[in-house]
Amino acid sequence: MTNSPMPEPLFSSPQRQSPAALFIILVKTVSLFAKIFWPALLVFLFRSTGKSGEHSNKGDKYIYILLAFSAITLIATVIKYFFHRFYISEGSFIVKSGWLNKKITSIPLQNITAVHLEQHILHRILNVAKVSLDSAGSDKVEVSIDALSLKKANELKQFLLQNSNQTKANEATNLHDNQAFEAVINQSKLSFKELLVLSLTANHIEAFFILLALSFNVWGDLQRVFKLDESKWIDEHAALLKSSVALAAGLIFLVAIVSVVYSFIRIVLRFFDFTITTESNGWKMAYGLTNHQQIFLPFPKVQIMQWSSNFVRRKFNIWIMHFMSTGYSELKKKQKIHIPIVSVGQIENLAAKYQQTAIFKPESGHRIDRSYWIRGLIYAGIILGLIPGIAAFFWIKSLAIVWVIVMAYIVVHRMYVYRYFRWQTNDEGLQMYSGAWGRKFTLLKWSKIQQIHLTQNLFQKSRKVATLHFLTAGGEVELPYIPLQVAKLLVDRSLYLVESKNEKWM
Amino acid sequence: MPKRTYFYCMEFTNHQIETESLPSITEVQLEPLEAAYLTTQRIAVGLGTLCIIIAAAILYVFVDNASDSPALYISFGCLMLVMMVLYIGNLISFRKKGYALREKDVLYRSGWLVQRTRILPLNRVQHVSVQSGPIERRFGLGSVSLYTAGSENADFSIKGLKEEKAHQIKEWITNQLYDQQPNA
Repeated sequence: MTNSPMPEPLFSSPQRQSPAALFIILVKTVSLFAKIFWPALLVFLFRSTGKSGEHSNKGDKYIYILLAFSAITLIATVIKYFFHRFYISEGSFIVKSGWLNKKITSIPLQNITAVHLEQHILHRILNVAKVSLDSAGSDKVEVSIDALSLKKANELKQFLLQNSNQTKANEATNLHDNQAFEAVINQSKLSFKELLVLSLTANHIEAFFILLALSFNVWGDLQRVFKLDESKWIDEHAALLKSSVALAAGLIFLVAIVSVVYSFIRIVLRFFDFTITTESNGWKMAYGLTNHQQIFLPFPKVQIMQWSSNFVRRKFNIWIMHFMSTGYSELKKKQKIHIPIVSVGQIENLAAKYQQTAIFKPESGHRIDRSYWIRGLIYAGIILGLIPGIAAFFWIKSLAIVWVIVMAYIVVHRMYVYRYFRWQTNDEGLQMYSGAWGRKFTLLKWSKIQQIHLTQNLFQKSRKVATLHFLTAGGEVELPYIPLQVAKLLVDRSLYLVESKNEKWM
Repeated sequence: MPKRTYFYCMEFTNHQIETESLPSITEVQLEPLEAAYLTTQRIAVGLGTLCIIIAAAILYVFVDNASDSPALYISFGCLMLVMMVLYIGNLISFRKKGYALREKDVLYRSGWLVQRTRILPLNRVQHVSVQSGPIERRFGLGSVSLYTAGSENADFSIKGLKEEKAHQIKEWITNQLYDQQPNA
């Protein structure tokens, strides 16, 4: 009979990250430096080589500074790596870090609500993963391990989830005995064709503005570096533009093409290889090409559930699901997770995990009060739009017309919101259907409510209508312009359900 | 034939709730805030106005050509107008402010142009604190702040209470918290 030693429990002794972490921390630090100092680096690279006379002395100085920075970065990386250890002891996950400033972070295993594995492009090349934890404690605890071998990361994830689940299993009252933890109930993947349609139907106008803001930012930095004379540049190019209308049209076309390509690439990179798995206690999501993410979202963390579709995507029946949940810290942070959905059946499956009552048919719901768009007509249309517009027309002609058009758009938008808005309540919560051009469904469970606000402006008071705001730990749901009497009844009913049932909100 | 029963039916009831019998927020009598609170608000606006006047005077006397600049007069006029609106706004909104403690929740109403009634169920309160600024302290006033999950700032504060009362309310809510925490 052999007397084999007892196997040591998993992760019980302090251990370092994978050696690949050294490289990843280094790249992170260098890219952080590069982000902050890139204008200075540009000056160094281009300006110092410009004038050969001054070059040698100044150039040497810059090289020494650069070398000093590199040495500090390298030493900091090595110290960070060697002094970062993690282990599991007495039911807690412990991370020790720092050399001069020592820091010990301890998270009780039963407080761990989610373990995320992330693989950026570097992680994928080196076959490692970044591990980060969500905890339910009210302190702001954020723990992440930059690089662990993929096998070890998965083992750690399984171990942490099992231990946190085991504790929770004893507390959980709503789980059936025959449902094993981590049992896969449902899984769906986004095919490449669906990804292409999703990317092509993105809101390219939004991408256009992001690009515009980004280019202004970079342009500002370049100007500071090279001391460019903006007015001169604009004068030169404006003259060129005036000379040819075709050139101007070409420029707009080019910007539009760049915007479409940009938003297309952005979405392909973000949702590449998207998979969502419904397990017995939460959703597991994995997606991304350059920044591969694995997220586990336990059902109770979701506070509000929404799914929306823009004007074009509606035609293809493509929706984006938004899980509005509590984040890293229970008290402070909110978290929004967006995922693509391509079938109504999938929406129903996901929504049933949050609210079991069937999704209402918009045509059977209640409408909001007509005063919602009448207010828009009076304020945006007449008081802010038409009156100043007519007055200003004799002074600044084209600008006044643009102003009136913008205000008219606001009125029409408000009219369409009024026209399509529907809502309904049930014993579990509130369901809303809204949108002027696109469409959005919102589900809220009464048990998730933290506060209710009933607001009335002077116009609403005269019309005896009110707006209700339901505040949750993941965000807010607004039900606008409903009759005051109904609003009060709804407050009474939802309060009764929150206070009498006394259900957990997470 | 024996009647089929399920074990879970024994504890499960589903009586209809008469919506008219529900406790209504319409019937709640709000308690007004202390009159001294209005004085503290007036002092705060007065101090703000004084700061603006001093800043304008410094600019007028010490900065070259400032006295010739219409921008100084326009911005000074605008800021004075804002302070006047604040003064009147405080006066009107003070009359509309009020709070109420119920067995299961707290209500607080505020606002002038937009009136807002906040209702916070006690089983959602994370913690309670009492605060008082230097001006409030001189008048023996304090405010009670209630924190819920997801509220980045304490957006539920009952201001303009006597300091003693503020502490009493804090104690009462803290005691209620132990009884009202959600079921596991």
